Amino acid sequence: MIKKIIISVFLSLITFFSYAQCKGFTKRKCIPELGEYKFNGQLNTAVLTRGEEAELMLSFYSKQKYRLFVCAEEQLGDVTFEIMDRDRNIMYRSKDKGTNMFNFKVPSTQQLILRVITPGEGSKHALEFQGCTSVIVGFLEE
Amino acid sequence: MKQIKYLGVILIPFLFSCENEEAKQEEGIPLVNKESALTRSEQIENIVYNIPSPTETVSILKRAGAKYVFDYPNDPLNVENYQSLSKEGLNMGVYGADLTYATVFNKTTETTFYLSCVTKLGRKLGVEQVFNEDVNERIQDNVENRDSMQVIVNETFWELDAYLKEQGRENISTLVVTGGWIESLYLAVQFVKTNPENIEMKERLAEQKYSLDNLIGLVSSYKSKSGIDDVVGYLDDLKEIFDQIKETKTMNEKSSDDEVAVIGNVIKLELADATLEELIEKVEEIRTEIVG
Repeated sequence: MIKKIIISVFLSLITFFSYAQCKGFTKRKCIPELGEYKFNGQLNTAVLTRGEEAELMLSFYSKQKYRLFVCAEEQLGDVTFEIMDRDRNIMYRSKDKGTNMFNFKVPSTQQLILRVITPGEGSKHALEFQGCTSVIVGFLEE
Repeated sequence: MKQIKYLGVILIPFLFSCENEEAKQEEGIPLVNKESALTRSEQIENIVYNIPSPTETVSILKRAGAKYVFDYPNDPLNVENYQSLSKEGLNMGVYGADLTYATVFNKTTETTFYLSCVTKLGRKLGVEQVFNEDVNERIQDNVENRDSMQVIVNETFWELDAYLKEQGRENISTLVVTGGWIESLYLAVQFVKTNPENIEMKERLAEQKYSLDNLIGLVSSYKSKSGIDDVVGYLDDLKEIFDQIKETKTMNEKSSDDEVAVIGNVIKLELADATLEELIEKVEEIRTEIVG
C-alpha cells in the first residue's frame, strides 16, 4: 500500500515537473523566436523521450502569414518535424531544410497535421532521457 | 508511432540507487523511468488538438469588416451568477474572448470590465496566481496600446492554460478553450446576421468547421472528467450542422507568395442559406445556455 502511494506521488510529481519544466522552457527559449509574428497564445507542449513521436492537429487561416517553430530541449537531440494535409500527404519536411522554423501561408483555411519526431530508439538503460518539446505558432496579418 | 518496448517493472527504487543516473540528474538532464515514459507514450498516441485563439479569430473577423458592438459580449454583471465548475470554466473562456474583442478594437472601458470579470472568475477557479496584481498593473499601464494589450491578454491566457495543466486540471483548461471558441463563434454569427451581404464574413464563419473538429478531438480526450459532459452535447449539435457545409478540394499550384512558402490545398466551402439559419439558431441557443 505504502509502495503504491509512493509510486503515485512520484508519478504525479513527474507530471507536475513536466508541465512546469515545459512552461519555463517555452517562455524562455521558444516564444522569443517568433520575432515580429504575434504569438497565438496556444500551449502545445509534450514531454518526450528519444525515439518518440507526437502529432498535433492545427487549423490555419488563409490571408495570414504564419511562423511555426518546433523547439526542443537539447538532450532530445535533433528533433525534426513534418507537415501533412488531412489525407496525410507530406507537404513539408524540416529535415530537408536544416531548421525547425518555417514561415508559410495556406491558400485556404484548413487543418494540417504536424508530426514531431525525436531521433533515436531510446536508451538501453532502465531510465530514459526526457525533454520538453514545444510547438509555437505566430501569425502576421497581411 | 514508435512504442517504447520495455513493459513492466516499476523502477523507482533503482532510480534512487543508481549513482550515474543521479549524477546526470544533478547536472540538470531530466530522466524518467520507462514505465512512466510508456504512460506518456500512450497518451501522445492521441493527437494533440490546437484551437485558434480568440485573438486570431477576432482579428480575422475584424479584417473581414466586423465592428465593435457593445451588446454582443456577455454582460459583465452575469459574472456573479456562475456557481458550478462547468459554468465558471466556460464563462472564463467567454469573458476571455470578450476581453480580446474589446482589446482588438481598442475599447479601453470595456477592456477594464472584462478584465474584472476574468479576475473574479479566476478567484473562483482558484487561479488567482495567474490574474495577479502584476498582470493587472501591466494591463492598466498598457490599456491604450492595442498591440501590447493583445500580447498581455494572450500571455495571461497561456499562463492560465499552463497553470491548470500543471495542477492536473486539464478539464478546466478545456472548458476555458471551449467557452472562448463558442464566444468567438457567437460573435461571428452576429456579424454575419447583421451583414448578410458580406461574403468574406460568411466564409470565415464556415471555416470554423475545422476548429470545431479540433475542439471535439480535444474535448474527447477529457470526456470522463468533471464538467466536460455538458459541452460534448453542444459540440455534437454544432458538428451536425457544420457537416452540411460542402467542401471542394483542389491542388494548390502556387509554391510561394510574397516571398513566403505556400502549402496546403485550395478548399472551397459552400454554406447554404438554410444551413446558415440553422447554425445561427443553434449557436445562439448554446451561447444563451452558457452565459445564462
